[in-house]
Amino acid sequence: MILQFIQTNQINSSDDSFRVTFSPKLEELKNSIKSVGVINPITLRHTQEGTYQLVTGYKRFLACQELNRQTIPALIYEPHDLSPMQAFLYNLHDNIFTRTLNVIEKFNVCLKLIKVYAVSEEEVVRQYLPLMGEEPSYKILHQYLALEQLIDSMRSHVIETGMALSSANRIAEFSPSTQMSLLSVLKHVDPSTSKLNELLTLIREIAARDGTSVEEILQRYQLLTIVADPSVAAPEKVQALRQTLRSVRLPHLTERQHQLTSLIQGLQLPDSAKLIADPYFEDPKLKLEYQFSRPDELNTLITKLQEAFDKQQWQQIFEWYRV
Amino acid sequence: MKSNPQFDQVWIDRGALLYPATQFIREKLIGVPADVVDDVKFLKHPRDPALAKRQLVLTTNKGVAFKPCQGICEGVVCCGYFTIDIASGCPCDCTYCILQHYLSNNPLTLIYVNIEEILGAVQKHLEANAGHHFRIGTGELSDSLAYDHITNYSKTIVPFFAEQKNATFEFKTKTANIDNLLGLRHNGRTVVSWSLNPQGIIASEEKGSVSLLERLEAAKRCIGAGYRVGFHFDPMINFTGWEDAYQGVVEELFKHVQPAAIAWISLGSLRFPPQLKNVAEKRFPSTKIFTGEFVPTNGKVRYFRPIREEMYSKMRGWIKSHAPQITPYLCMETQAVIERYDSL
Repeated sequence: MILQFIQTNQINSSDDSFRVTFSPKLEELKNSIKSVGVINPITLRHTQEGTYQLVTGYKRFLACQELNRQTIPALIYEPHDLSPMQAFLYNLHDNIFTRTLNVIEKFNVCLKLIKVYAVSEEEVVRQYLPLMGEEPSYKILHQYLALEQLIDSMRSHVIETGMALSSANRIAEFSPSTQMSLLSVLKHVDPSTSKLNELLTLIREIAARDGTSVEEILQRYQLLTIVADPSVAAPEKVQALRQTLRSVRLPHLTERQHQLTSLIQGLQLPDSAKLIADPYFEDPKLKLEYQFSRPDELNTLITKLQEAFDKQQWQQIFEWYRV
Repeated sequence: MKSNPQFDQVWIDRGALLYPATQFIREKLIGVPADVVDDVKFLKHPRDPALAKRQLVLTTNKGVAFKPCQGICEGVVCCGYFTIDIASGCPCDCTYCILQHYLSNNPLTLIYVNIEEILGAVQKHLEANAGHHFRIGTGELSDSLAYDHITNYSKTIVPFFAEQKNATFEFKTKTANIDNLLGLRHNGRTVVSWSLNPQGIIASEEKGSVSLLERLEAAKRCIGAGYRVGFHFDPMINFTGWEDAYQGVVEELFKHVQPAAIAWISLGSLRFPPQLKNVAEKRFPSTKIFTGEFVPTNGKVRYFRPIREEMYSKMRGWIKSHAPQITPYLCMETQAVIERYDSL
């Protein structure tokens, strides 16, 4: 191993054999290099063909390239001093103990260990998942490996939004063209993991049920129009998406919920009183909640409730609810 | 080596070696590799459930093999059924099968070889509760008859129940594996039951089972041997055209079976624990049965109540038009639906 300044154009940047880093942010690093230069040398592996493979320091190398620096300090290993597997582990450990890998980088690690370095699934589960802060679980490994089906732009979206593995995994089940269509909707919203998973499940199930494509669903129910409206806040867009998709996925339930809401509104209950029904219409019991802080408030409330109960809608609710 | 249609490997629990059933089953599975293990709990199993269930474990049921039906949960009405565990795991491989979830940590097929001990425990319970009549079945953790050709357990079970005064035993199956039953003295104490679904559902969602017609032909043969038979329209699947499909099954049923030979008919709609859906969709990616209008209810997922009630009401009408004396009962339904069932 020798330390030397090497021409950046001698490094084979297209060789990503040992790389786990995905979509790095370089601005702060570039500012640092502009200010004090590269403090820690990168690590290279000299190949028998005379080129240099990048072992560690991908971000430093990229930053130097973008800053048009001609040379970079590097520790250079000859091929017989560093096997490919060792080089990969150098890279993995160099990253893993200085920062948290993102979802796509963890996928890179799992995929390369299994497909490039022929590590068994059992060993990846037992040894490498805990190293990356994951539970030693085959289910988790397979969720990571499934991300191979994600298109590049979706991978970037996953990183930009900090999307959870479970959501990325759901998206990976869709075809590349469907992922593109989904991306056109998802880039307008930033739902929580549970909401995103629900939206994806609703879309997938509607498509399966109706024997149609996701693209057709996005178009038929104008989902892109819903999310593209700049005057609507992101959480409201998510809510609108959810409501639209649920009404398509669960038409009978949604219709009933609307009917019940309308009947309850017709009662014109006082603000401090609330009539609550089982949202799934399974339990026939209704619950009436009311709040008061003084006896006279309760008297007024009772009078108003009695007026509400005299309305036609009160009986209608009971008759209708039981159908 | 001759391959076996059901099993690739037999594991024999050392503690099960001396039971007669172990020897009998080994002889039935000549050609299938068999190994003795000290403790079957430590057997590794293939991750693919379809491969795992092709490994048979012969062991003893050391726990409570006779118990109230475990399908019950809070808010759901129990029909007072008891179950005997003589096997665990099923070759029918139905898309909706709860065992995929329930047995996910133990997916190997188990046959309990201490059948006499298990029936001894049943006998004690029946004698201790002589004033109560029990309905008992073996179809909870497996198909009741799927392995009968290698265990011959029916030849022990049917005569055993023929002698019991306060119990009716039920084989519940999706097979036509009834040859062992035909010559047995049952004394009217055993009912042979089939789960029924439209042939389209059987073909797509019950791939390891026999066709509707084979089930009904098997029922006819059992009736010929003096048995009463039962039918379980369970799980009913709600899909476009379900009415015609299920009405067609009812028509077919009564073409093959006289109402007088029917001990009972039950109705139940598809319900499952929420975790099952992911497991089943991974194993059966082309299935559409989970795209129905389901809602969470009492810890399970069920069709929205008006959909279930419509299915039950129409099915009861179609059944009663052929057999006015038969009122199908509802299986594992909620209190609210059971209470409303008569007025639907």
